[in-house]
Order: sequence, then C-alpha cells, then structure tokens
Amino acid sequence: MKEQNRKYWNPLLEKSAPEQLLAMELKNFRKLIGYAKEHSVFYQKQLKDVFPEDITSLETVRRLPLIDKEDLRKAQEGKSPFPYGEMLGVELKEVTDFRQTSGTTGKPVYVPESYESWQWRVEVWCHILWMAGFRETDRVFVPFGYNVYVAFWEGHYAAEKLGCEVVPGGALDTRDRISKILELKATALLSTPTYGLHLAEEAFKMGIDPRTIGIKRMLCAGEPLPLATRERLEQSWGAEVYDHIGGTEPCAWAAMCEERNGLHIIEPFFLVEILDMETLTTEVGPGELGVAVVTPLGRRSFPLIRFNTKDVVRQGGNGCPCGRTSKKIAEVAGRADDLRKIRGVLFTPVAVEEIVRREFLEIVEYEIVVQREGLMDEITLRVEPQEEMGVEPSKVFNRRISERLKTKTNLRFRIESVLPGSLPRYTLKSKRFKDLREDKADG
Amino acid sequence: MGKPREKEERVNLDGMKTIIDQLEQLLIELKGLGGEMPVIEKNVKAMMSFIHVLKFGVSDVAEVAKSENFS
Ligand SMILES: [Zn+2]
Repeated sequence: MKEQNRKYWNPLLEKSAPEQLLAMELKNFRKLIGYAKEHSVFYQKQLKDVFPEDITSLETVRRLPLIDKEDLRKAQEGKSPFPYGEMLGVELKEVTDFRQTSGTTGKPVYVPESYESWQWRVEVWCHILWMAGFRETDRVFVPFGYNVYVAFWEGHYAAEKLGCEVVPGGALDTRDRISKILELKATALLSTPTYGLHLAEEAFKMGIDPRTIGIKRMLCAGEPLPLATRERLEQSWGAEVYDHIGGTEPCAWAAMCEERNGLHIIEPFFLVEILDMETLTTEVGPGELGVAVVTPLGRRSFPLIRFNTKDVVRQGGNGCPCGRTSKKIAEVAGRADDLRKIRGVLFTPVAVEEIVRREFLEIVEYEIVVQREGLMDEITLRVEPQEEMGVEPSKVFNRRISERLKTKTNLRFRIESVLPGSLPRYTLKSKRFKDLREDKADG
Repeated sequence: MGKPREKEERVNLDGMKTIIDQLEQLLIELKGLGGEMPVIEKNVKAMMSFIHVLKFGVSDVAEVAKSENFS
C-alpha cells in the first residue's frame, strides 16, 4: 500500500474518479469567480453579471467569456497598480515574484505571483517532475540563467521541494556546462529541446558521447517538443525525455507520465477545455484537434478565467496504463499563432520540425522563411548541415528534403544550404519560423 | 468509472482534512500571538501557503468524497 502510494505524487488526486475531479474543479471554479470579482478590477467589470452559484456544469462554464494575451496586455498597459494593472488579484505588497512572458508575439505580459500562488505553481510542477520519474536521488542540472522567465524557476523550486539536489547552471558557456555535468555526475536535466540538442552536439565536438555522461532523464520546457525531436534527444542522450505544456500566464497544465504517450492534464488544479478551433464554443471529441482553454484554479495573485492559450492540441480522452485518471491530450500540434495559410494551404512549422528531426539527422539547425515574391508566397527552408558534410550538400540531398516536405505539407519548399554555425542557436524560445509577408493570412 | 477511492479511504482522508483545518486555525492563533513580529508573521504566511496547497490536494478530495456519500 505504502509503496503503491509512492508511485504517485498525490494518489488521492491522481487516482480520483473523473467525476470527482470534475466536481473539485467546478467547486474551485466557483470559488475563483467569487474571489476574482472581489479582488480584481478586471473581473469586477467583466463578470459583473456572473455569480459563483451560476456555475453548475461545464455547459455553464462555457457561457463565460474567454480571455487571451491581448486582454491581459490591455488590462496592464497604463493601468494601475504598476506594472500589473487590473488583473492583479492581491494587494501589490503581497507580490513576491515578478515574471514575464517572452514577448515573442508582442509586448510582454507581466505576471505577479504572491508567495501562496508561487507555492501553488511549484506544487503543480512537483506533479510534473514526479510523473517524469524525478526522485530524491536525482542531481538535477539546469543549464540556464533563469532570468525573468518562469519555467526553470518552477522546475528548480519543485525539484528542490521533492528532494532532488538542484544545480543551477547559469552563467557558464555550453562547454563549461558539459564539464560541470560530468564533474558532478548529474543524473537529470531541465532544458529546452533546442538547447538539449545543442548540448549533445557540443559534447560530441568535445569528444564525449553524451550517452556516456549519465543523464537518465530530461524534462523539456519552453518550446514545443514534437515526437521526432523527443526521439532524437532520447537517442542522443540515452535518456528518457519528457514533455509538458504550459505558459507563463496559465502555468504548466499538462505533462507526460512514464508512458511517454500523450500528456496528462494536471487535474484538478486546472479546468481545461479543448474547444473547436473555428467556433471556440464546443468541446472537440477524442482524437480531434482543438484549442486549449485553461483556468488555473488555485492561483489568486493573477486570476485567469477561461484563458485561451492558443495551443492547438489533440484531445486524448481518459485512461492510461499508468493508472492516473485525469484527462489526456494526445499531442501538442502547435500554436494557433503559427498556423498560416501559404498559397491557400494551412501550414504549421511543427510539420517541418517532424521531418527534419526524424529523417535528416545531418541537419543541425534550420529556419523556415515565408516571403511574398510578386503575387506568390515563397517558402524557404534554410538548412545548416553538419560540418563534415561541407557547405553544399548534394542536390540529391536537397531534392530529398524538398520531396519529403512536399508530401508532408503539400507545399513546395526552396532549400537553401548555409554555412555551419551561421544560423542562430537558441537557448529559450527558438524563432525558426519567420513569416515576412505583410499580410500573414492567418489560418 | 472506477469506484471512488476505496483504498485511499484507508489512509483516513477525513482525519487528514481535520488536521489541515486545525493547522490553519493554529497558524491564525500563532499570528495573533506574534503581534506584528516579522519572524512570526512571515513564517506563518509561508506555512499558510502550504495549507492552501494541502487544501487543494487533500481537503477537497475529502469534501467531494463526503458530498458523494450523502447524495
Ligand atoms: Zn499516464
């Protein structure tokens, strides 16, 4: 019994019947509405005519308005108290941690955490790390300076709380980080997928096979992690690689269990709706793609009710061999923001990442550029091959990539080879997709 | 769906909820006794944050289980 309990971070929640999870979520949703109306200027206005007792089912939840990043920006810009504005759910003096979004899609959103809200976030991450097999015996290396971005702070504090030994690896260059990982015999990494690949690439250049370093598990953060990239990381490091999904505003809300097949929604910490992308009014069925709308239910410093994350995910339904009962998402398909119409075809950059990472291991870095030439959209894949391939990979090689991309995306790509080391190496959010058209014709 | 928590009931969910409530009450009392002393005020606040987390992870489960038994 005791051993069985140790399998889960919180077996009380993780093995709750789905209807019990929903009951807890609705209860805390009601509580959050009452709280937000009392403490946040934004919600005093937005939910003026909504009352906690109105919420009795998911259908009643869906009658409430959605909010998105733009609403958060508007509620902050020029609004008091500085810098959080009208979303703030506690007195300013209660705020203990400043975080902000990366600003890849516009002006950053400032996110306030009270000590209580921070601990709530950390608890969510304890679920995530425990599911990924992090335990007291792990020495976790975090190869980043965490700056104002949230993910590695959460990972750090949660790893500490569950008893790991955490090594902050900021302010070192990549080679020094590899040396430190070796010196300390670290067993686990928290990393972005891109930097995980880059670390492995650099280790090879140092004459070290990353599989011999001793990293057993890696939790990825900060960027999407398509299956092909995850498999490439697993092969490079000889480690188990886990994904999760979340953001600075809604927190991390779903993550992989030991099955590494889909992501469990961290219920009942979040009420997550996967909505039809066109209408945003009905929930999609298992196997279908939809947009994730997330309500973090216990975070009072920055109450978010029905936050449209714009993450496009595939609904996965309930049930998992791991025994956890929470709903799952089968895969993260990309960002609604990155969905584009190119020559009338709906395109997502994840499709390119899948092909490059799975089938063209000779490519160490790449970039997708969309431009309008005359009336025509042109899409170019710039590829940076491994040094030993030389600057000009063969025409056959380029044609092979182009054909595979055509099959996968229904678009004809121009392939351009660039010098080794000339494309940027990203540590946090990679920007491999550049749409330079003025009218982006969003899908 | 699975039977609601037969095994977990044996870990005395109600007992844990009661203790979490008592801890919260004790912390409020401690804060009162501490007056304005930062050492009391700030440590109590930190501990109250963990109570918030435990209510989410334990007390809510006990409450929902109870309301189901009565329904
Ligand atoms: Zn599972």
